[in-house]
Order: sequence, then structure tokens, then C-alpha cells
Amino acid sequence: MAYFDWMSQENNLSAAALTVRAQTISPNDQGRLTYDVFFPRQDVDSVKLSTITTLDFRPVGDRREWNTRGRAIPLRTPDLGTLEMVPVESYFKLGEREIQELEEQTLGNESVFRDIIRARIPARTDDLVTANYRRLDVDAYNAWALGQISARNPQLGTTQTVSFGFSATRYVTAGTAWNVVANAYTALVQTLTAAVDLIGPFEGVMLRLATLNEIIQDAPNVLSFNSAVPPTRTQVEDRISQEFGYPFRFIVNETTHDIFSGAGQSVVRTKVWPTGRVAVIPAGGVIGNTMQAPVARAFQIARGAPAAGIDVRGQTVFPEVEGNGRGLNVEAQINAMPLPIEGRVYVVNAGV
Amino acid sequence: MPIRVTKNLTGGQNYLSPFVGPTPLANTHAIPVLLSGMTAAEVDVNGVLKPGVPLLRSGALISAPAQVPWGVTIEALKVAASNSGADLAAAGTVEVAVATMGQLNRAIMEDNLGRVLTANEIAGFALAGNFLKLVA
Repeated sequence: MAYFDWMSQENNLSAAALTVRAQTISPNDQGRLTYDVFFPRQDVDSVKLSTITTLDFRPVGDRREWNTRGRAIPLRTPDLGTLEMVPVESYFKLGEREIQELEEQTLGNESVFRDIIRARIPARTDDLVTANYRRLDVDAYNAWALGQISARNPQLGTTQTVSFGFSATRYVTAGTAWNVVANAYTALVQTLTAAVDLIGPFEGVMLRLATLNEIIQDAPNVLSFNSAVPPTRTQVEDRISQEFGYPFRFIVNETTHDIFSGAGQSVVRTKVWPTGRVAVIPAGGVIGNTMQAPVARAFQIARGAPAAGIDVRGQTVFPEVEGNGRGLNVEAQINAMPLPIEGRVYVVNAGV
Repeated sequence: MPIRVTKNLTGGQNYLSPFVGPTPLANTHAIPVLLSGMTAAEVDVNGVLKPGVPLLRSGALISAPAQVPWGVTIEALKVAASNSGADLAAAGTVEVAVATMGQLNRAIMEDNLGRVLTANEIAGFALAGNFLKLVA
């Protein structure tokens, strides 16, 4: 009898139970993950996605003479494309010696051992699930700020970067960096003015703290007679709101994650929002969607436990016994990818 | 004050399995390893033989060209009191199970060892008669 044969019979350690637990974990990581605010979930039926780039064609009719025809409006079609996502997956392994140590701690009492492993494996599974959500967080902000997604092969350590092919008019670089330009506040106002034409009304910008500090330093402070006293952040937000007539807010993104730098264990603590990028947030706050496709293996789990209410497009967990019970491999997978809507994107590289 | 904090253990990263995909537990072989031939890269300060150490059939490390690795260690195992010369010599020879086939993540092996694989080790994995493949 395989060592872990009873695992599938334990309510808390079956694939279905671990999957249900995984799907109860909020993609929030104590507020550190915010991608789902700007990229709400959208269920799709396939890992192959069709994309449509924005068609910016605004024809104007003409006046005509009496008893003649007016202007024919031609049909223009947007660029169409397809892209295919690959899964996000994390795993951990337990070796035979580690399993032996677990049982020795309980003096061979299987029921106590079951309690310990029941506590440990689900808790460790939570780490896998959160790691997958952090990948979506990184991908969402890269897709928005840079118009691209980078994927590192976890076995080879090599990186592949794919561009969404958005128009270059939506990703501009400031001619002079905002820490050098005469007035960073004026540069921001010019950016917002240009953004209205491409994305319509806005409700704020996402940026790094260093960029915000440059803006605030240069913003006028009409409430102080001392010109050396900069305004507060709220005062600058109010001023921009009054200038444009929309509510406005700065969203500073200094969130960091530990991103693996190769095929090994080394990680680099990296800011998810690229340096110097100022992205205008359109009214409504939605930049795109996180496309979530079914995980084929989840169908089998759902069929085996129909009462569990498993979401086949959510995080799916697979425990796998190896070598007649000498090892245990637990994987968590999700088929998801953030996809910005081109018509909602306008980003400036402010250089600071 | 009667309260103080004593740091008893320094945290850090743990050893990872070097195998890509399932651990080849169906193809293991116990070989004798003379621990005095190991270094701090293969045996850590706690006397644990690390996973992913490439060994010859004799149990020795690969040290010359044209040496084919027989297997790699599978899991972290305590084999000596520490990695000091005296403790390794005192531990003598131990039987260690190695996996003789499979796919290996080189980056994880090097992270576990704390050193890069030598040119002889890398070349050894590419030699005929070896069923262990470095995929990274």
C-alpha cells in the first residue's frame, strides 16, 4: 500500500480539498496585490485570446449642394490578433527523509501525523497560490506600464519578452526628464491634456514616489506666502481637479516582490511599477482584464467532487505521490494573464 | 530587565530538489562515499550532505576530464557531525543513495552547493554512458 494512499481519503489533503482551499485565498496578499482593481477578472474559454487594437478613426461629414450626394463614410477595420498564454505554476516537494522526520516527531502516531501534515501541506499550498497571484500582479503592471509581458523559463532561466503591439502614441518618452525640466508640474498637466484625446476623461495617475516628489516640488503653492514651502499632495490633487474639472488622485505604487532572477533560488526584490513611468488612469479605473481560462486538469477534479463547487478557471492544486510514497510533489496552477485595453492606455516615461 | 532575545538560529534558504519533473526514485543506487573527500560545498556546516552533488560510482567527486557522473544525491542527509576535516574523517565512509537517471536543474544544483559546477563536471554530464541531463 503506497505510503500516502490514505491522502486521497483525507478530506483536507485531496486534490479537491486543496483546490477548494486555494480558491478561497484572496488575491490580495494583505493589500500588497492590487492588480485586480485595475484588471478585474474576465472568464474566457481558451488560453488562446483574440485581441483587437483600438481603431482611432473619427470621420466628419460634409455639407452638400441641394440635389446632390453627401460624404461617403468608408469602413475602417482595426488590427486583429491572437495571443496564447502559458500557465502560471508553482510547486514544492517533500522528500522521504523529510516525511520520516515528520512522522518521528509524532512517535509514529498516524493520527497525530495526519494532523501535522494536514496543517503543513495546506499551509504550504497557500504559499504556492499567493506566489501565482504575485506573478499576475507583476505581469499586470508590466503590461500596463510597458505594453509587454516578460516570462522567465523556471527551468532554463531564460527570459522571453512579448509586446502587445500597442500604438507608439500611447507610450511616449518625455523630451526632458522631469527632474531636469523647468517645471515637473507643468509637464504633468501637459501629459494629462494629451491623455484626454486618447483615453478620454481621467481620474488620476499611477507613478513612483520619486516622480511624485518632483511634481510636488514644482507645483505652485497659492496657500503660502513662502514660495519655498511646497504644497501638500492633497493640495496638488485638488488643484488638478479644479483645472480639469475631474476628481483626481495620485496613486503611488512602491510595491515590491521577490522575483526569481534565474533557474535557481536567487531572487531580486523588485518594484512592480517601473521607474519613471507615469500612467494616466481613465475614468472608471479599469485598464483591462485578467483573462482566466480553464485548467484542463481541474475538470477531472471537479467531476470527482461535484459538490465542492470547484471553479475550473481558478487556482488548481495537484498533489502527486512519487516513488511508491517516498516523495510528495504538490503543484498549484492557474491559466490567467492580464490584458490591457489599448484605448485605456497612456503612459509617459518621465525619466525619474 | 529579565527579558532578552537570543538568536539561536540564523534563517536562510533551504535546499531544493535538483530534479526537473518527478524525482527518479525508481532509479536509485546506494554507493559508498568517503566523506574525507568532500568539501564544505558538498557537506554543510551541520554535516548535511546536500542534494544534487554529482558523484562517481566510487563515491568520489568528479575531479578530472572524461569522468562520467554515476549519480547525484537526492535529498539532504546528515552524514557527519559537521564539515570540519576531523568530523568528516571520523565519519568515515557512508552509503548514500544517488539517482542514476533524470533531468537536472544546474542552477539549483549550484545554489545548493554554493559553487558553480566545474568544467569536468559539466563535461562529464555530456559524455556517453551518462543518463543524467543538465537542462539548465
